[in-house]
Amino acid sequence: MSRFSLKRLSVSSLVARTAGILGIVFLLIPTVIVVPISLGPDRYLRFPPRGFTLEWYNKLLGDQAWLQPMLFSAKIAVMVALIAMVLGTMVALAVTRGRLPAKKAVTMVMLAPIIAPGIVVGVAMYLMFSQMGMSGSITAFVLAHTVLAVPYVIITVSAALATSDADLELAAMSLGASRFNAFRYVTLPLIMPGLIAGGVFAFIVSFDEPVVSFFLSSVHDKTLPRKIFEDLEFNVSPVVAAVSTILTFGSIGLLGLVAVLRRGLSRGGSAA
Amino acid sequence: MSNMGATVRVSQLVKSYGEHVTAVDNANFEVRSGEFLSILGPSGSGKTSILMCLAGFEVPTAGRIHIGDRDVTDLPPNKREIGVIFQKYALFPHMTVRENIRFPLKMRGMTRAQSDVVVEEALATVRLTELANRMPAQLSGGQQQRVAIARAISFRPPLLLMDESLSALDKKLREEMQIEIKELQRKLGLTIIFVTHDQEEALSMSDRIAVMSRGRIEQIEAPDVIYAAPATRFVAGFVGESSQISGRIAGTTEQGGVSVSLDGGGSIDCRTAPHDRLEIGAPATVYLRPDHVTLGAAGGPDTMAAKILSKSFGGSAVSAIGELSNGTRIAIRLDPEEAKSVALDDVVHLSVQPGQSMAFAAEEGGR
Repeated sequence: MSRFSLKRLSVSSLVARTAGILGIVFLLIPTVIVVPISLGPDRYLRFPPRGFTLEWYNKLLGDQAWLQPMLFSAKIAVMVALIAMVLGTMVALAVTRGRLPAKKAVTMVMLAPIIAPGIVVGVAMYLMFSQMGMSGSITAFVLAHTVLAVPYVIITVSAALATSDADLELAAMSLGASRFNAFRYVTLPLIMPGLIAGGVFAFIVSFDEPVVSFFLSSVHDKTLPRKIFEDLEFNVSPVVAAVSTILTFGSIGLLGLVAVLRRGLSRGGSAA
Repeated sequence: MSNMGATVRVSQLVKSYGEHVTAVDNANFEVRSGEFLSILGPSGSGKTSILMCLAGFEVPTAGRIHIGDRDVTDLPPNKREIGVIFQKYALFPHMTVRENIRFPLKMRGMTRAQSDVVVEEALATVRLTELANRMPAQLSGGQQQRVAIARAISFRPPLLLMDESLSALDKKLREEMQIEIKELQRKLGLTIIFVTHDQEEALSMSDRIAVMSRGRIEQIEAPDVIYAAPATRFVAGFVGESSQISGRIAGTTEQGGVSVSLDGGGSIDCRTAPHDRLEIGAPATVYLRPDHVTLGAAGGPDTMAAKILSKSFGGSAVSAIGELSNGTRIAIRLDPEEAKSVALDDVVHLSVQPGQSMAFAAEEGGR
């Protein structure tokens, strides 16, 4: 009896494990496969590659048609990250520390852009900004992406606030700190790991954002994801694979940086 | 180096949350310079709300708060010059002990060089010089408590507020800290307002105690007065150990008290609180302290027969519970020798010192 159940258990855990590994492989393959494609010599997307070349990377980095959208996206993403960090922290503070009526409702509204279908947000933004004559402007991109990115900062900063004692701010004020100084010297250092993580997420959200960008881009000012779409439509070259590879490793690098920072900061924060 | 503690005056303080919850209902009291006042009450009695209003973390619904001759009611916490010691100390976890203590000085615009002397002095006062470079997480509870005290006194506030500040420590350490705090207070001449639900702590440390219940201050007096002459039924039941026995007022005594004939038989001469109106024949509750109960001879006047239900050894005395014939339970304290002659289920005769217990009008609708 017990042997049977033991055996069943091991069989089922084997099945679960295999399914899990297959799932991960399935999720990873499309991303991973791009890397060898970007290094292949053929003028179209081909797997497996027949040979090795860095031609597409050279082409990418020497072509204004690619560099310009990259720079444009980066500029937007940096601004979005900074604005989202400020706004997101303010919302997180209000929701976790403030005496706000209808806290739940406010949180729901602020987090809604994550849940709402991207296409809906995209169309809405397009209609609004084109009416205002701002379509394609960097302001429009920054505003639209900030709406999408703020929730990530709210989530990470709220989590950081939840683990730090609210009495600390009261203590700081009783010791003579103004509200602002209590935030600057006590709250901010304690939520910094969460804030930085939120900022990186915000940056990535903006940099990778395809749908809203698709609607807002103009002929001259376009973001990188939009440029990738265009390129796929007109000439499918391995340059796209090269861009994708760079984006993937860039994201991994940023997230790795966040992990390292968090560990370092939390170690410095709790005990030396 | 000693500075004068501030006087504190709280007048007609009301704090309500929403329309239905009144946490503090018209509190009036004064604290003298250098006095140690405890605000004692069960949780939800409003003691913490008073503290929050004093510290400036809550805005009173009505009333004024004066510290010294300053009306601080509308001042933010950082302009009040009050040291606050929190229940969980609220040390800044990302700063060393020294940085924690320096914080209030930094906020006052002192340079590092100026503040160094003050910080070292505060560290020495609480005997933490050796641990100055540690992070709070590396300290024991008692050490954290000391850092909190050093931080709260380093900027020389004339008033210190303490919120259940000793409750996280174990008994022995707590008693040590009580003594240290009292010494420090005497040395610095500080006024201290101490919020606690622990009556032993309040009784042993305070110059006066304000006992609170349901948002009201029931009595504000010296500890011995609170203990010996509680002003209300609540105070009598909350402070110190007492057994409650119901009866009826039988008459008045020569000392100006009342004689209560107990429902289970017998009678006790009691004192009454000044404002309590007790008419002859009215139901009353006697609050009987173990201190006033002794083993007596059978059948003597004012004795009650009680069956011993339990005994527990407590060092210098043995606590026992006796049950009267009508089921009322009475706490008794016996000396260890006496206790040996009493076995469980024995029926003993208890005699009550006349004129020591308090009698209050029985709670309406209750016993």
